[in-house]
Amino acid sequence: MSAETSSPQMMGGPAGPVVLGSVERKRKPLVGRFVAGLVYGIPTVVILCPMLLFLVSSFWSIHDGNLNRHFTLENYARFFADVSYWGVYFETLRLAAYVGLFGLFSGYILAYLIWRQQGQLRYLLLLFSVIPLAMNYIVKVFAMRNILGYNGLLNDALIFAGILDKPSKMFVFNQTAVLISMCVIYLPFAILPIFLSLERIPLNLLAASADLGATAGQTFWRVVVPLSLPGSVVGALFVMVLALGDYLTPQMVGGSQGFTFGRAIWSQFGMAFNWPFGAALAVMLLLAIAVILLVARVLSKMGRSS
Amino acid sequence: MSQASLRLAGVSKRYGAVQVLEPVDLTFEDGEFVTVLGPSGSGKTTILRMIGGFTAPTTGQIFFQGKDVSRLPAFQRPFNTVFQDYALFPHMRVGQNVGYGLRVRGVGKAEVARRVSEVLALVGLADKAARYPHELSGGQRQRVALARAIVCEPKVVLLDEPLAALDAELRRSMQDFLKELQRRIKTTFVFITHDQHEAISMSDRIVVMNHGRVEQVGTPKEIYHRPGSPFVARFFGENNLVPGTVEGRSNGRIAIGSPFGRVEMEDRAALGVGANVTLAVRPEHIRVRPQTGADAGFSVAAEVRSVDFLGATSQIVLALPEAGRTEVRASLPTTECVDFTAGDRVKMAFSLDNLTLLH
Repeated sequence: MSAETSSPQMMGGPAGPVVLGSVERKRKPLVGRFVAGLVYGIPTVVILCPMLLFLVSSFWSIHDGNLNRHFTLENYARFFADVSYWGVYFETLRLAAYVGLFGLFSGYILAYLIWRQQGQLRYLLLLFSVIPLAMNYIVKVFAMRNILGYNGLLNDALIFAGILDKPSKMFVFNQTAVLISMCVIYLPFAILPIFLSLERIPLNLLAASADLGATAGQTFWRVVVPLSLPGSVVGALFVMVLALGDYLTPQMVGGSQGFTFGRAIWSQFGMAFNWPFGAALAVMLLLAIAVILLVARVLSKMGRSS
Repeated sequence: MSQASLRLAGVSKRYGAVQVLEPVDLTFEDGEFVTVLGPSGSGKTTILRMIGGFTAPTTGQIFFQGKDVSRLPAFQRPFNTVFQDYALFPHMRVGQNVGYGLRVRGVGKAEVARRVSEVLALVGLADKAARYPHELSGGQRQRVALARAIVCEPKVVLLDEPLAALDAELRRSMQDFLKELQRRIKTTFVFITHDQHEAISMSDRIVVMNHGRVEQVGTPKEIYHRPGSPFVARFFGENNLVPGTVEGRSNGRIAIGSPFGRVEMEDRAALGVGANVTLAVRPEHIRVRPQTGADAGFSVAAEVRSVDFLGATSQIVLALPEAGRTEVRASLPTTECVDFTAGDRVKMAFSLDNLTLLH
């Protein structure tokens, strides 16, 4: 109000409040457009453009170390023709699926136990279970390597328990090591969404179920599981996606046997310097992720209507 | 002789240092519609939750048909609850929601289907069995919750402020519907509400609660006309409460000094001389007469403060000049107060039968 009434006198003075009062109404669409530009622009520049660039470059090729920017399908042809890439591709999908399944089951059990606690204990336990999320990823992988190694905690424990006579090398530098490490490292990523999907269940639904004569087990299977499953599966698929793209864990604990598709992509970029082929492999991985996310969508819809 | 089917004996609840419910004794007869009425925080929902088995009483026992059920888990009690926000299972269709209680008890599929459609017809939702709760209106959800609660033929239906979330018009029709339903299925209804109109229009008996204590138990008429405490007198409709002191007693009658002057009443409570009491008289029981006219009943000189036209009735605020500035509200048919304007000196009259003694 005051800015509006004083604006005519102050027209010539230093800008600031003068402009605000009189031009505000005309400016709004401009500001709106600016905000909309930010909202759509930032994701476009930061996410969509790099992905498009990848997609485009996957149709280029390298000849004698020079980048050839003509459209070609040879990268994809090479991928589909080479059985060893297929093998690694599906092997990695299977690995990630196991990690996701482990996250779903163990994460569900842990999240459920935490959810059933009362008061502060509940949030304390939740905090403990997600603290690893705040830790450096490399540190966690190193920790896993130490635990799984020849002189590691796992071997010590198994010998102490009398299960093994001498340390075993079967826990490190192979596919099993990659699986165990990923399961442990990605578990917190599963616990959190599962806990949240449990937390969203109104407590009086449990009371209503008991009131209608359902035992604790019936309430769990007929009310808790159906209502929390969509969110939990989506959490597990999220974990699967994380595991799919991970190339550091396989590199550090997998040795030469623990080869994954992520490492294959990394080697095209970091060692073979064949970026177009690496991009093609990355696009294939992205396709797998897209399919997983679609499955997640369908599953959560089915979960809601069953 | 009717046997009290549900009985609370010395039931109380304490959370840490907070006593939310003082020990109460209540009985609910078979097929009775009992309303537990009180402001929020009065302990009424706690009573319901303890009957339902969702909260364990700190002391006391709950008997059902002579058996102590206080230690039974909720799922083993023959009571069903209609929750305040309905608590319908969002992932189940209306039919599945209603049939849930039967299915978990192992009732056969055909039998479940038959009883579900029966009950849905009873609540007027026969055509909505395949809908999801989120596709229904508030009133329809309410009726699904009711159907779900009565399909197992419980001995007692517990209703936790089930009408609180509905708008006024829907509320009125649901009140009639609930009452009618209760008459048809002849089941004990324990109904929780904070709305005294709802309580008066629906109940066989009302339990009035305040600050974790039972203030009074009685039929709506008893509670309205013979309130047992100042709280009850104030809570039900409008009431004029004035302080009084017992000035003398003889032959089972007491004389009380009050802003109305000295009134004589039957001594029901054996009050001693000098005891402080409260007198209550309802606005609709007060008549206003010209000062000069003769009046058979009890009357006090008064001055008209204001006259408010409310349609068929009008409200007159009277001041009693003999007793400081005490104000009394009278509610009269508008036809009877056309003659009065602010400042008029009048007589306030009422029958002593309508004067209630509270202590």
